Amino acid sequence: MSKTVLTVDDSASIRQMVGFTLKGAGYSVVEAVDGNDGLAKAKAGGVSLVLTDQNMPGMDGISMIKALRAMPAYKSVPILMLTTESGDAMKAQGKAAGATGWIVKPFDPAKLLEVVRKVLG
Amino acid sequence: MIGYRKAVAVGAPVAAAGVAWLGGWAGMIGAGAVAGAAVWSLFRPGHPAVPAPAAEPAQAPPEPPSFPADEVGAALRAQFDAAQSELERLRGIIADAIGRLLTDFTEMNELATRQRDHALAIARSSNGGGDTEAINVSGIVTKTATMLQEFVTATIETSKHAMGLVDQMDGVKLQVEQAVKMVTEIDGISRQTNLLALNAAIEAARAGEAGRGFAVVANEVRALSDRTVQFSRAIREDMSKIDRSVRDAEAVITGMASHDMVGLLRSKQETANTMTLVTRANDLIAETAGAIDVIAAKMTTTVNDAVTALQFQDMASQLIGHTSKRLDEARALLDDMSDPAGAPGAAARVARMHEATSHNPVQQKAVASGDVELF
Repeated sequence: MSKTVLTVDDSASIRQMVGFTLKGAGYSVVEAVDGNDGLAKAKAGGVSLVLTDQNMPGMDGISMIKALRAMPAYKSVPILMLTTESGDAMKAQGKAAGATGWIVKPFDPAKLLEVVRKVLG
Repeated sequence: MIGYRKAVAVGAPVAAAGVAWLGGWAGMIGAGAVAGAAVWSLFRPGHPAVPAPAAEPAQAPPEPPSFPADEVGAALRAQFDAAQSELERLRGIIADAIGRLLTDFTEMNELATRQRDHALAIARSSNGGGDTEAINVSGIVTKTATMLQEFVTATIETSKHAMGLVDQMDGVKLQVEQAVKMVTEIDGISRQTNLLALNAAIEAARAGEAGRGFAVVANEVRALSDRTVQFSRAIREDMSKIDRSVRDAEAVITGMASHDMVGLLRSKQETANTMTLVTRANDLIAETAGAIDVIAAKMTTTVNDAVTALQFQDMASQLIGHTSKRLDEARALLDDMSDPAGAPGAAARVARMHEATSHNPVQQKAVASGDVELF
């Protein structure tokens, strides 16, 4: 059974591109349009990896990570930030919130796949 | 006039900042730049945005243009609103276009992958590694060549054996002829024996009673001679049958031995040539399939590059959002300038605007793939 990746981004095209990259490699992809939607989809369960944007309406990525890490089921699930933000201060906030890694947009599909495979073992 | 002077202090940096950030989006939000220049000219009387032509010395200096603050404010607000609306339209158009492009690229990539899979299947089958025996062209060519060689070798061997049989049949024929001659000799002997027995019988009859026993012997000898003739005749008939059979067999064997070996060898060469062509065609198929595989792999890489580049839409959308926020702040500042009574002080207002717009979520200056960092 394929592992499921939750991609959280307010940009439909980014969600589409993440889906294109990961589905082609055999992963299942669930989409969420912002942090709140991401939390709701995560609560449904079955998620092996979360890929999230930072700047989104409603709830941003780092806030969502904090909320996810407070859930027992997501203590050790890898969460990768996928954002245009590249500042060290923002990365430090993400790391402190519990992010597993930081990918600066635009992403290279091959590199994204490599990182996903790495964090999913 | 107090509000007017406050506005002068605030208006200059607003206009300068507006020109700076609006420069990059001149095509889209030119209206905002016009508004910024108008603000600058409005709050600095005597320094119009567009220099006035030199006045004629003889004429009285022209009256400075009058810009009623309410009208200018309303015009600026309309420009800000229009710019916001146009930015949203721009964001929508880009998002729509990128969505379609992504769908096309996704389909292209899928087709490229399928094409590569087919090419690999062809290449594998051409090299004898295919899953289906029926399309193992290399194997078919090898088997056909082996079978053909075995057939030619067997035919040549058969021909050699047939030639040997022809020689042996000649020997048999000679022996049959010898046997027939011997039977003929036996016939002659039998005839003479019969004649002698007849003479002996005549002489025995002349001898009367004394020759009676001799006559019996003579008759037995004649009977033996007759039986010998009968046997000889039967043997001759059998030998004739054997001779005919040998001649028929010789004719057949001679036909086998005299197969057109030149034609056979020519057919073998033609078949070998055909097999060579099939092998070349097979190699060409494998080579072409390999080239298709390489092209498909490059296409996948190119699609990946395109996917990376198409993410400009996300960056552009965020930059448009940030620009929109700047316009909102500029418009709010304009509102405060129009109603200074309820507005905070100029320094505080500028600081608030600066704080609201200082963080730009997009630092990238080109569409190159970003860094990856695992914590």
